Amino acid sequence: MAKYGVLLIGGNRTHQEGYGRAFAEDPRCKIVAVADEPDIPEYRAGLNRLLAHEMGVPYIADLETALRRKDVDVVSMCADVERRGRVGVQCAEAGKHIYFDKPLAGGVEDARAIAAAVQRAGVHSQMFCQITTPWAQAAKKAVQEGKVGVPTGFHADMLMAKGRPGTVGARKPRKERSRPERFTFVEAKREMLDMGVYSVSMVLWLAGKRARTVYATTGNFFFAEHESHDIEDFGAFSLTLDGGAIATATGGRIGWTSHPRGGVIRVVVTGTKGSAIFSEASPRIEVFNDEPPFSLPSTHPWDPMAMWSSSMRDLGTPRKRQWVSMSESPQSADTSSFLDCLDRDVEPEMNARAAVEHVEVIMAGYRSAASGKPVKL
Amino acid sequence: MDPGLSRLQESVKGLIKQGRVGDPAVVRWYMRTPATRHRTPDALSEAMTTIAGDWMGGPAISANVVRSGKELVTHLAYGSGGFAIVTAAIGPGEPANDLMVFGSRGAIYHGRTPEGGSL
Repeated sequence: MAKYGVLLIGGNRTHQEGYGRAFAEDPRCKIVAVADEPDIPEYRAGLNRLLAHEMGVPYIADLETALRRKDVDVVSMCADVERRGRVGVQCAEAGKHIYFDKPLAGGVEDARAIAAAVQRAGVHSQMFCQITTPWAQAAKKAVQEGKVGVPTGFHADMLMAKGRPGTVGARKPRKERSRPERFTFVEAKREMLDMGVYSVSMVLWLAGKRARTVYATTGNFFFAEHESHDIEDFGAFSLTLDGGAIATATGGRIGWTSHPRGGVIRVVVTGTKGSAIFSEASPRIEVFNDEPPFSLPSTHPWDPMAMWSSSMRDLGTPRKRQWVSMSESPQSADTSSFLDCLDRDVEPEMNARAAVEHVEVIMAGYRSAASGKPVKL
Repeated sequence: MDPGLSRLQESVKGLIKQGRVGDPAVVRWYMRTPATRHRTPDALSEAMTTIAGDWMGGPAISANVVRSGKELVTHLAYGSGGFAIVTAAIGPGEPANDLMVFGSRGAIYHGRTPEGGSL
């Protein structure tokens, strides 16, 4: 019998497509239902119902009712970024353990409210990121064992190779907003937040230090979709950290044809004895054969950036097949790690409290990109 | 200038001129070399910055520098709206030269960084 009843918040065209299935595949879990707030837009409710249908569970259109269920132990939370503060607090106050989509929230106040609610409730929490992947674990081990000496720098990249590049208009310097309030659009997302959170969380976790100063730049380099909503498709941070080390982190979307696989997902660790790269793409197998080469796939009208596996499935988007990964999916590794923590009643490393700092750094990054100056934390 | 660096500069510049990756947007470059009497992180960074500017169509209009020991990161912004993150490090261990140039329609990769798995 499954040990944990899992409630999924959010549906298709959210990362719940992956998390929900990863939980469902774990024998410790039983998916109880899909649920969300009652007053969400109809298109979101429809996509939530679709995931519930695909997973063979009911859809509960009133989150409060769903959270009162005794058979719900864990909530996998993929509400829109703009609603995460409210929904995250509600889940914690219901006494449920929470698996958070990244980023924790779209603002520092919301992130802190979630972390405080989680702490008050005494529940466990974890935010999805890359730290449970084998390559990230190898990087941490190398740092802890002093393989590169005393670390001086951490340089992480999360650059997703999806979307049709070259559609942006005439290049011009981007004027950034110091306090962005909307992050989620049907066609695109703010990539310095959405992708940058992976690399920011990676460097801070590896360093085990807090950021002191943040300098960041954003740009519109590739996609008309981002430009039309005045949101960045690429962002980069330079950080100074407590203890004297430095870090850089990039987050963006570079287009289907700019990488042989899913994108640049890696970290370079440098130190007094040497440097080393740890990458999602290593180790890998490379295949060269007479299959037709990958070519630009069709564009889904409701998902032109190919953010969601359901739209790629519907469209029949071909996979890149030249580089073959030798690792399990990061989602399965991460949900499994969360469940291991619940089994042992220990707090996950990437909990809500840790994830607050990522939001602080990224929001400072937007202020820096708007002003052109470093921001002290 | 190091002949290897000159070759890299000209090779990448040639690809950009041919339009192979569209308009250059972002340079992400990490380089580590052994210490010599004439080579400092600042000198290495200056050489890399000059080359990045050549690829990006002119010198940067602003720069933010952070450093830790013999490692220096220069985060450059260009008038075109593009930017570069150039990391220069001097120290022992295997040399590394890891370059990514992202253009509006493609990317250039040139990598020689020790793999973590081999540590």
